[in-house]
Amino acid sequence: MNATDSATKTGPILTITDLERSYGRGDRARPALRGVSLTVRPGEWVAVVGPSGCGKSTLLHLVGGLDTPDAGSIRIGGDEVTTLSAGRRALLRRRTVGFVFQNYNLVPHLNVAANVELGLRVAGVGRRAAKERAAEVLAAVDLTDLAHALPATLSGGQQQRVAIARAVATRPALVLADEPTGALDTTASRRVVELLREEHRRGQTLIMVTHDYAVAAAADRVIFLRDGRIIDERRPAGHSLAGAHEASTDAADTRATGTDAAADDLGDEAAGARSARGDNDLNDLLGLGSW
Amino acid sequence: MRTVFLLAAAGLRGRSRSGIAITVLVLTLSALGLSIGFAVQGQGEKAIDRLAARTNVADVVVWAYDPAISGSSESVSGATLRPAAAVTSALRGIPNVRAVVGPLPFLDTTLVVPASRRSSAGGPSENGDSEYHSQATVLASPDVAVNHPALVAGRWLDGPGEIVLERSAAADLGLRPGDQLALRGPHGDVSFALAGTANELTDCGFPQCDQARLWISGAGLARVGPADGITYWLKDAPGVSAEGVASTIVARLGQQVRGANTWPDTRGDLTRVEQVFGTIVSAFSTFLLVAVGVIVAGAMTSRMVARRREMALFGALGVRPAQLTAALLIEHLALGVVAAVLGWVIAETVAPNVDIGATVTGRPAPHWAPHDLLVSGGALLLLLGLATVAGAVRAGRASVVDALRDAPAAGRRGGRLARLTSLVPGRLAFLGVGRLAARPVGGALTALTVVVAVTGAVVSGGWNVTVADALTSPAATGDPWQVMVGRGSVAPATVETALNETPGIAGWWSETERRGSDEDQTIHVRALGGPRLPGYVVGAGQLPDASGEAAVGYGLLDKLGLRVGDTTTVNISGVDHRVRIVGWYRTTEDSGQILLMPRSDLGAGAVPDQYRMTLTPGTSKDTVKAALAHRLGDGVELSTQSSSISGQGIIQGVTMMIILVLALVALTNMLLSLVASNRENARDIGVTGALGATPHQIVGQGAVSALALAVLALIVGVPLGLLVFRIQVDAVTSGLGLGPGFGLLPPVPVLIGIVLGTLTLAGATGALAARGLARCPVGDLLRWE
Repeated sequence: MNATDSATKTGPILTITDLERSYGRGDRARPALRGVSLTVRPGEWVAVVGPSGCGKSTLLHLVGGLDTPDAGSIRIGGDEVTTLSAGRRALLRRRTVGFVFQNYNLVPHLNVAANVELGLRVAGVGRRAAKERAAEVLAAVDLTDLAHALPATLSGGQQQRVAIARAVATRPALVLADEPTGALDTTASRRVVELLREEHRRGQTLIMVTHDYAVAAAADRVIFLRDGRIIDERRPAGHSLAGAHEASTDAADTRATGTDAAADDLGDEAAGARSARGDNDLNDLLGLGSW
Repeated sequence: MRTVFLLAAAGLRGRSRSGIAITVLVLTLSALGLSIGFAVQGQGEKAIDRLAARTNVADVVVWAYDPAISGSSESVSGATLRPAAAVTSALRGIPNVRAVVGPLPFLDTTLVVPASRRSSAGGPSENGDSEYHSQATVLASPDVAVNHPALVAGRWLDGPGEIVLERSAAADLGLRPGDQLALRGPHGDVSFALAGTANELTDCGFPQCDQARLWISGAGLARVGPADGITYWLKDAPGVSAEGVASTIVARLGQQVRGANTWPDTRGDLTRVEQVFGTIVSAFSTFLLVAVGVIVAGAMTSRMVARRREMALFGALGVRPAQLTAALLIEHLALGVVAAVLGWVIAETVAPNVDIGATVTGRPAPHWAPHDLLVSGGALLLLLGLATVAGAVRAGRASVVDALRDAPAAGRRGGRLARLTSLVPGRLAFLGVGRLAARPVGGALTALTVVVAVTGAVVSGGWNVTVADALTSPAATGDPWQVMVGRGSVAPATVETALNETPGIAGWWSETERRGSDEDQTIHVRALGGPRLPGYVVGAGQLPDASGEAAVGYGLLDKLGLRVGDTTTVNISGVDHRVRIVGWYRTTEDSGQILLMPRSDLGAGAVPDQYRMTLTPGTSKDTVKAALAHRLGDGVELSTQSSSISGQGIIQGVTMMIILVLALVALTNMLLSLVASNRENARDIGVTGALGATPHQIVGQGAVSALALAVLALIVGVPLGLLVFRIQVDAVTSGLGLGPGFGLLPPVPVLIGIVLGTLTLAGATGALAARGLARCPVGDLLRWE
């Protein structure tokens, strides 16, 4: 299943029901997720925000089949993920999920092109086709000139763009981005967000975990997580629940401008208010409308 | 200093128990291999030298004719024989002879052991008893000035009905004081009781030497039959060459001398097998030393890499690089000391069981020599220290900031050597190989231990094939015969007629034994006669076929510095013979120090002492032996060829054990190295998992990377092993008298087996190393630190 296929389906692309996950055992067990339920439609960009340790990355890993929940259900395009074996989940990930990590996680001894090709080769794409597709996505992220460079010679932003290229190269149903701008400076962060927005415009379904509310404002929908539970769900101003896909396409430029302005205005203020303020303060900061 | 010990203790506590156990196991195996080499080498020689000192071993042993016994004052060839008193006087008059014991009458006889006590060395007689060649010497009391036998069990003989037997013969035949046995002589089978067993060094021990030596009273010998001659035990002045004295004796007494033996020759015979074994063990110990060095270097390097972040943290806290190095050194040396002691204890415990030099003196009890611990432990700790310091200094130069930022180490970032990764085919299955190529030094060290193991396996394969072939082809080691007839008192013509007329005999030749001397060297001379030459394996040239020609065993060629084509003068029974060396042949008899010549060159009076024969295929040796015994009577001595290489089982067993140790060490090291490499690359492995690589594919990548190392190791190890084996076997067989070129290379099926075995074990090891991480949730791998 890829983004194009999912966009033509009417049902949700991702359905999470009563998801639970704890770490540790017995008295030392620490619940990371408690009864999380969530639905994502094709072409939607969902941002998951919350304080450190609230379960954001755990949620992403469970969705991507990198980990297994203690209870609950995760269905991607109708396929139940939680009951699959590790091998089956790996097979599902090949064409269904693309990952973007905070620390890029590029293979250090492979050059840029080889890193992008890696995902395609794992997915079973032939060598020539993989090379062509890798060149195509590298052009899209404006890194053609660095195709033969090793990751250690690139800046953080460049490495993250390579990671995004690798993630979207297989045209997965879902792109899961875990703090994609977490290790980047402001300029690089903007560049990465812009890239994600371009993919979203092409119909890519995105689920992004971030602690940066300015970055979250670029998404169609923002999920607030705290202590392993979804405490709120908002849309950035100008978006409604219905027709989120159309709205995101029509209002892309406006939203992009608005987000940039919000990021410029909020900057460190948003960072400082992240976990200290209540929901209303957050709404004020982000300019989000209420339900 | 306190900081250093705290860091060292913390390092040890920070290891997992299994990690400590595996590290100590690898180091212990290494120490065991080193220690056992030292323990085995030379312990037999030391025991023999101690016995020689305790018994005041004779420097020269002479067997002579006594006209009073033989009843004739002339030898078979017509030379005049002196009476025993004159011989004694002559011996005492030889310069540098300080003491003479003798004349002691002796009789070559047959020891008959009841069927219930039969060992594998003897042959059954018609009634099921076993018979062994033996030599009985009259010695009423062991308290003689020279060569006094050292009693081991029981007591000395007390009357004409008892004998004392040499210890090795008693051990081999399963005899104990109080047992009943018989001696066969001209008067038939005469019963005796075994009073005791003793060690004595006039010749090598039974069954290495064909004759079992025993001591008897004069009256007891008279019960068996008249003596064959008299023997003397001589002690030379200190520093005098026993060979020179023996040479003088042979020259002065001529044909009165039946035979002479020197202590250096006997000692060489006694220690030869141990020397061969020691050489083999030393060579393998060298392999092990190299393997240990590589393993230690690799293990310590892997440990440094795994702890680079921890070391960077200490550096950030203010610990100086020298303190860190010292702490690591203490930590590793602590493990090394434990391993060295364990290896030494096990080695010294096992060593007596592999002492194949113990045929005469018996197996010693385990003893733990501190010297061996100092040497083997010292070698191990030195290697540990060097590897630790080298790794720690390198780690100390690494960027603290990079380590704390968890940036990939320099090797993985793409240094010059890391460009080797571009040589790796861009296939998914080779991802693991790419990871190894990014750390070429570590990969090379791991491959090197496999190279050592493969080399050792090839060498061991060659030795096992060579030893097995030597057993099944006695002709290859200088015994191209199947039945031998000692003429005794039977006329040569009678014997030769019997040989020509007995069915089953394919061919025969005669041998006339003499002692000769070439300058200061006494040599064993064997004059050949009969219708055909013996089927010795000729190394170069040919066997003597015409007057004035001679061929030598390789040992004599080497000893006298001769070459084929040289001419030399040999004094035989007082007569100089000028001979041209026309060839050398392979034989282990007397370490190859034998000269062959035509019997006709000794003169008309030289008559054969024994005849050897080969049989037609399918003919039983015992059948021919029985036919000849029936035809020639009791006057002859008959024996059949029984191939044995003393300690062959132990040689093969120990070489196999060392190979197993090498293989175990190499595979354990490979496992540790690959596990460390996988842990270092855990996030990369997690990334491939996140991209959709299944756990099976991750395990497969691990197996492929190990296979790549194994292929490299085989490409180097197999040819290296063949070369090392050739060098080693030539050195050993030349010392044995067989000369160079004797060894057989491992056959192709064995080499294929080594290749397949290495690939299979390496692949399994690589898969095992990757299995642990493959079973981890991908999310955990991505968060790996």
